Amino acid sequence: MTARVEFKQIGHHFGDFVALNKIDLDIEAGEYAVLLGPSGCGKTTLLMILAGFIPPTTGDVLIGGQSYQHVPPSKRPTTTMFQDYALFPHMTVAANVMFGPRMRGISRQQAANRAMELLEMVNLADAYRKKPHELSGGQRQRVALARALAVEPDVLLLDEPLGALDLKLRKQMQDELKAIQRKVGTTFIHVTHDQEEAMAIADKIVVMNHGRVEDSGSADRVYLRPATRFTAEFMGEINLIPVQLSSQNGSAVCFQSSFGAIDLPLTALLTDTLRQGDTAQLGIRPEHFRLTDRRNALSLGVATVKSAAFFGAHIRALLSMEADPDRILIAHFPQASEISEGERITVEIDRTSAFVIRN
Amino acid sequence: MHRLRSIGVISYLLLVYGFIFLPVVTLVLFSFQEGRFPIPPFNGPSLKWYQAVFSDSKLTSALFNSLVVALLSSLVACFLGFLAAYGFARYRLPGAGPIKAAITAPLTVSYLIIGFGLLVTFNMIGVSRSLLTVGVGHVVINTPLCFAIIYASMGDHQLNIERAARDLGANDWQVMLRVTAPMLLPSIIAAYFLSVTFSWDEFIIAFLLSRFDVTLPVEIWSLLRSGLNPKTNAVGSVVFLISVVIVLLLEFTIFRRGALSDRKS
Repeated sequence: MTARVEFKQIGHHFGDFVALNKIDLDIEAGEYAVLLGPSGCGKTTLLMILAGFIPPTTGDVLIGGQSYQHVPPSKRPTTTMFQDYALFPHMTVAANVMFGPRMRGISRQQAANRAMELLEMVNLADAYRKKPHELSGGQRQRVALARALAVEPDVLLLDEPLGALDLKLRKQMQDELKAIQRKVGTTFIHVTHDQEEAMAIADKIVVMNHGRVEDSGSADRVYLRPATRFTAEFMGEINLIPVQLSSQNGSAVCFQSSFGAIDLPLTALLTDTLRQGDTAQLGIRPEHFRLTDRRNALSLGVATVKSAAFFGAHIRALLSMEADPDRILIAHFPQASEISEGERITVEIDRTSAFVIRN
Repeated sequence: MHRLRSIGVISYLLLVYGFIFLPVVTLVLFSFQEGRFPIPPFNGPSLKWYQAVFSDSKLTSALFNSLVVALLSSLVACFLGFLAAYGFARYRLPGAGPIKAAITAPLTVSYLIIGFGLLVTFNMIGVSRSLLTVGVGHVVINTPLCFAIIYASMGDHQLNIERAARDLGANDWQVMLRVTAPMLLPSIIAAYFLSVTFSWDEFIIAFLLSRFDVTLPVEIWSLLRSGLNPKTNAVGSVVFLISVVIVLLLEFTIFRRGALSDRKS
């Protein structure tokens, strides 16, 4: 009840608009993959192509190594969980969950048993006889999940499933979705524009923009070592500082910036096409700033604290560098740090966490 | 000042409702008249004219004919209207705009023109006038109405629900019968009952297209030709009563359901 998914050169055009541009992407069997990107990046189109609701303009999708060109959604080993849940409003919760098995010719009794089993799995056994309108948003969500899993798909497609829930419920459902995915072993492909949600549940994050795959990999890899500037910016707050490659040797690279020379380990360089004199972007995540001397620290010089705000888990500060006052850096400092507005501080960053990407 | 205004409001209300309902009240009141003329002074009450109505076989069979025509023609109109609405809402058709305009056009054409046109057509193709031709006439006038009501209730929200059904393995017919139609049931029922009331008291088309078996409005008309009589009041009251029953049915089925589904579906 699980299968590998391979997108081969998938392209899709709406008239002149290129929604998807030759997507090549593999998702392993049993993997929880998240398609992440801003609205209009093509992630939902890609999902609908996989589900069979939209035929691709070019290319093919293989599910379990098999092509499903011209096969309607009802005959594919995929089911979709829609953003608005799309529950049948006139049927009870049980009838909703039984619908798929019944349509596939399973007897009423067996379908009912299966429905009970799945509703127990999503902790909704007591809603068996209720109608969807009697349930809360989170409960409808679970019914939709049970209904989609009732037909034992190889691949479950989730189209922004948590978008309508409040923050607390969303976090709870993220944990539950992941737990259920681990339990049933089905390949889950989940579409979202929320990078925190993606990091919370994904085995593999696929970052998309303008119909292309910008990056794909595990959450930590995509966040800490993004393949592109778009990925670096989309995955979370980041300071991008224009730099110019001045020299490179076996273990270190040296850049010129408006803050002066910056030496970084060779591993910081995430692109191998940079030549001497080329410009690039130095990326520093706000949490990689340091207030006190530590090992691997790299000084960027002296800065004035423009503002400092308490954010609960950290203090978010805006720093204006003395060497280049117009360039404001965003830094997160530990909760207990004592910094105040107007203070002058020496800015240091974690040398091993900074990275350099192409413009 | 405030008081003056509320007096104004109340008298305006009484005036409007009086204007609408006074004729009906008079009609119903004088159906219980004891004497031979439905004019003041009222002496009664008496049920003798109702007795006269129900012992008049022409009137009772016309009443039965009217019910049959209304119930069956509305069924057909609703079915056709639903199919048309489903087609327009769910498929991209070439020339959908003009076709949609054409299907709703009969709503704007006078019943006289439609009835006359049908009469000429039936004559031309050699179909003799009967309750069936009356029924066909009522299907013609009520299909656009049913289409408009059902079409208005089909939105994109249901589109995803139908997609989900298809995704779970249902074919086109199963989607339509098990998901779309039940989901739209409130508006289908509303269209049906509205269509029934329109057919129930429709006169011109029924008059032009019927011959020996007639519907109630046609029978009442021929009754009126022989002069005013409390019997016409009594039969008019029966017509009114049945219309009221249909409206109440509508109220209890649709608006109850509506109240439920408004609580976010």
